[in-house]
Amino acid sequence: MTRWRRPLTYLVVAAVVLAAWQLLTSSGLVKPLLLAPPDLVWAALGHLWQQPANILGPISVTLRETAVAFAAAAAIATPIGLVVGSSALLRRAYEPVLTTVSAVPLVVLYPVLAATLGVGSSSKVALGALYAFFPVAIATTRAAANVDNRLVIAAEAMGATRAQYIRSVVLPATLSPLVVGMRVAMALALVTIIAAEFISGADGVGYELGTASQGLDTPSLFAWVVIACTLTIGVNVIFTLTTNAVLKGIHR
Amino acid sequence: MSDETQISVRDVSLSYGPIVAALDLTFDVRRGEFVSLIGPSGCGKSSALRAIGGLLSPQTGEVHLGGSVVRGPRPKEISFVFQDLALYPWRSALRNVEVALQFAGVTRKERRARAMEALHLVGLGDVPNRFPNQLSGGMQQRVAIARALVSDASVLLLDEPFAALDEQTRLRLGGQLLTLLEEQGKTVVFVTHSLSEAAYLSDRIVVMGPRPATIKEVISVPLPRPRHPSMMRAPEFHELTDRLSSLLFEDDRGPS
Repeated sequence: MTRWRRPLTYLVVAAVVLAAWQLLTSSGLVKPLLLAPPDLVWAALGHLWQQPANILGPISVTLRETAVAFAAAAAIATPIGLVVGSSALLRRAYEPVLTTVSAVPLVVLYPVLAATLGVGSSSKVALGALYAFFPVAIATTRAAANVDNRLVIAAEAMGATRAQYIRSVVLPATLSPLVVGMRVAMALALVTIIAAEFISGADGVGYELGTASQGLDTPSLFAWVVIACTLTIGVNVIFTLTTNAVLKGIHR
Repeated sequence: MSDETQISVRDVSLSYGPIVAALDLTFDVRRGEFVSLIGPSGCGKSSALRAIGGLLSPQTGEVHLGGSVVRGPRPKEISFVFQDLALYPWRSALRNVEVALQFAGVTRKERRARAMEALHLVGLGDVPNRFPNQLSGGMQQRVAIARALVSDASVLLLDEPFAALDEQTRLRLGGQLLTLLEEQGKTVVFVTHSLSEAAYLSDRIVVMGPRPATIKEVISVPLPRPRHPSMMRAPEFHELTDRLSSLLFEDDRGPS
């Protein structure tokens, strides 16, 4: 009985929110053009699902762009963070640069990216990668700098080369914070890419959101909001399961 | 033990920034000899050990090992056991021992076999796959010793390796370590704050004063080898520990 208590609280809260939503719209307090009633959103979802490609197509475009952006960012940011973090000089010089640049609203670069890479997929991937780069680089730098000094001295005494030291001491010691940075990066890449598709896309979840919103098709707009939320939650869950499995493998 | 000098510490002074840790240390260690460094805490005995191992550069003076000056870590000739052990928490016991060989570029197959052998040597052949946090303090200590032995370095530098253990475990482990090292003919420099440990394990004891430490005396231990726990009841043993303790505490007799 007790194991059902927690899921039950979710169900109750969801039911209350849905009921309030329905009540707000059907009572006429909020215009259906601003807030579509849940039954219409459900109907819009059902309508989209009649042709599953209507939903799965844009999702796969957005996911593919996110995956490429994230992979590129992680592949570049991880080694940079490891090297910068494991040298006192480089860290003093570049950690402030990383944190400062990461605070710049990089989306201002989008027109530049669009001009150089075109308004197609690559400029969106580039912007997503740019956003994903900093959380990984900063987390890795900090973690690499905080490796237990005793382990560092032991490696030195055993004659570890710099590469061996980074591979066998710094990397394993930094994995957990690295994963936290990657989780943030993954979420940022997804958000950025959806936003870029929304601004100037021809495809993807962001583009569908934009189309529905410009067409004043509020039920469809909300249906895509639901799809986008489900997508981000799904990506997060898959990320957690994957990293748990990988960490288990590496720390064995 | 041979008469050949293996380690030679010559007029070595050590400092961390403005803090002088040790002054003008001079002593020799012969091949196969077991030498302990004792002294009040903070007297720079750990720093002296690090200087011998090439982890700390002397301000003045030199450390010679087998005829050449030590200018950095020499993992082929010197291995360390640190006070805090420095085991890698994400590696199993076996892989913690292997890491010394891995850094030396030994192939995976050979290092696995040698690491296993070293674990057997310290009595941990049955738990190679446990992680440090699944081992008791004494067992972790044995892993650290196995890691120091596996590289076949002829010099072993031990920095208060048993400090975290209770007195019984410490003397038992120390005795077992001694037997092992006698068999392997290792040259050992051992930092400790336990007088009975130093007296029981050593051939000679270097007694250091408070900071900045200088050497007060180098004492030869009059007990025969191999050592046996019963020797701790011998009158020579008590005379020795009395002498050590009076040397260590004579500085405390200042104006009170």
